[in-house]
Amino acid sequence: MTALEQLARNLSRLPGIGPKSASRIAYHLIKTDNAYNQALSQDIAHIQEVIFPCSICGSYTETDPCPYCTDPSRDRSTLCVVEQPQDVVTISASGAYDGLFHVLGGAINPLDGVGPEHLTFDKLLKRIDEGSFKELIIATNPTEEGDTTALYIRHLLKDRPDLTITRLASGLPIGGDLEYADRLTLARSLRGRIKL
Amino acid sequence: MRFTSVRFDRFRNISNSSVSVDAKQVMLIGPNGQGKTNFIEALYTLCYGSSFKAVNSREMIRHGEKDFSLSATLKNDEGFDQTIEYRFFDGKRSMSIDGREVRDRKELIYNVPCIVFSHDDISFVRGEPEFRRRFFDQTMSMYNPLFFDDMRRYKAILKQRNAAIKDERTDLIPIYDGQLARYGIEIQRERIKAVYEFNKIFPRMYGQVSCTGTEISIEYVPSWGDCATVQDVEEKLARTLQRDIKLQTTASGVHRDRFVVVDENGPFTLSGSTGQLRLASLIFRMAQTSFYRMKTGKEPVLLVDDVLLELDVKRRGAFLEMMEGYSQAFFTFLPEERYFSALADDDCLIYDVDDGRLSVHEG
Ligand SMILES: [Zn+2]
Repeated sequence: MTALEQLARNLSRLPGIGPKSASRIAYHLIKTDNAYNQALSQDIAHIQEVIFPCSICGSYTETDPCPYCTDPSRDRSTLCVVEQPQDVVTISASGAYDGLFHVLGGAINPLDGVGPEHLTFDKLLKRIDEGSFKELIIATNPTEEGDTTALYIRHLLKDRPDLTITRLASGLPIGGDLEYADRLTLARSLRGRIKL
Repeated sequence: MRFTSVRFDRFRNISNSSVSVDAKQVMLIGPNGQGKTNFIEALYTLCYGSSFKAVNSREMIRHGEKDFSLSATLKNDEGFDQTIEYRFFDGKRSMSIDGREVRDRKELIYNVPCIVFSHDDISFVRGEPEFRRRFFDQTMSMYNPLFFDDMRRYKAILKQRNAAIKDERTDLIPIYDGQLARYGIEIQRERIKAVYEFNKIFPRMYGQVSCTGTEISIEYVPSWGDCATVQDVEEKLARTLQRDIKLQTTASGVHRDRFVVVDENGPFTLSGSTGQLRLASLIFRMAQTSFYRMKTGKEPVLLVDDVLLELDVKRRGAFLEMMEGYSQAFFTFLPEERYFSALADDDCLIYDVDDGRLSVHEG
């Protein structure tokens, strides 16, 4: 295998990059400014040293514990449970939430070999036991796996009636304004599917 | 909705070209193996984003090529033009409507409603229960987005439950039971309704074309027939869990529902002749067309591939008479099926298909 093929093969492992795009990027990197290549490879080499999951909540941070966990102005009675560290950023950017976060690291998915033991439920229960949370907002994705995960959390906390558990209300993530999408969203919300 | 032109690029044996199909009827004449069915397959793929015969998109690439694409222009019921494109490029397929990428295939179902009459349908009544289940799923999805979505979710949860059974994740199974029950009960309810309404159409159509006194209809036999509520289903699943564990799969549920064609004596497969069963199979598609029109008030595009040969002159006449109320229809014929010219109405285009090339039929 030539160095070019090797690079293309590695690039094609990136999400959303097919073999043709990988080869196009590889050719681009050959003729591009070498300083850029150096900077890019440095960034890639060090990303995992600089950014890591917070030891408390699991969101990505450059300091441990993360700014969310240490910010005294945040509401410590509300905990928002999400699947991925990126979700913390999304919800935080909405500006509508000022409580704490908990990252599960995924959703329950036996088909992909992901069981509860692979996610941070133990840590979550410990935080709830030791903290002073009054409300838990489950913000897992609006997928079947996200639903399963939400229902599993409710099951884990069935002996905590003092804790209010809510599920993030969600419209369907559909692009475009096709008529059927509106009908579907409406039909589904009418049926009131997302009660926990 | 009507196709006005179709463009082929490295698709199967069809030569790279743009073909005008701006007519209410389009007929493709040629011996077998020349590309008639491929043409029909291209239209279907543009409608639904997948083929009715190829298992994956790769199969549709012309021999020796790596990519292919199809595109079509259509005129919708309000007279506006639309462009649909299907591309298989760099190992990935993508679709767009008017240049906007379609991310979810369910956007397509409601864009160009299309019904294919294929020769493979012929063993439909006698075939696996799954064929008829899939038929009703498709029929209902065409007018009921919520059903389509419920079905998709049900199937996803079913796979997870089966994986949980195999991995002995007994703590998760009650959660899957609850999810399965919620969607399953809705699906069952919708199927009961749909079969009831389908039976207002199908028996009459069969009677008209078969020219016999035999009355047939569809009987829906739900796997959870003894359950009326989500709770009933949850209890049933809990009761039968040991069996499911032994079988390593979920042995009950709407994925095991049956749709049986019956006459006054019971299953039609026991009493009907081969010819009657084949005819009933074709009537299913016809009834689907009518049913769609009844539910939506819209007329579908019909793709009629190689099925009229099946019928004798009298039945063919009755069949075609019933085949009204489409916005556009594509037919394939063998050259020896001389009757095609008699079928053509004023707004008809006839093409000869020879080795993947289409030319306007002479005479
Ligand atoms: Zn943190």
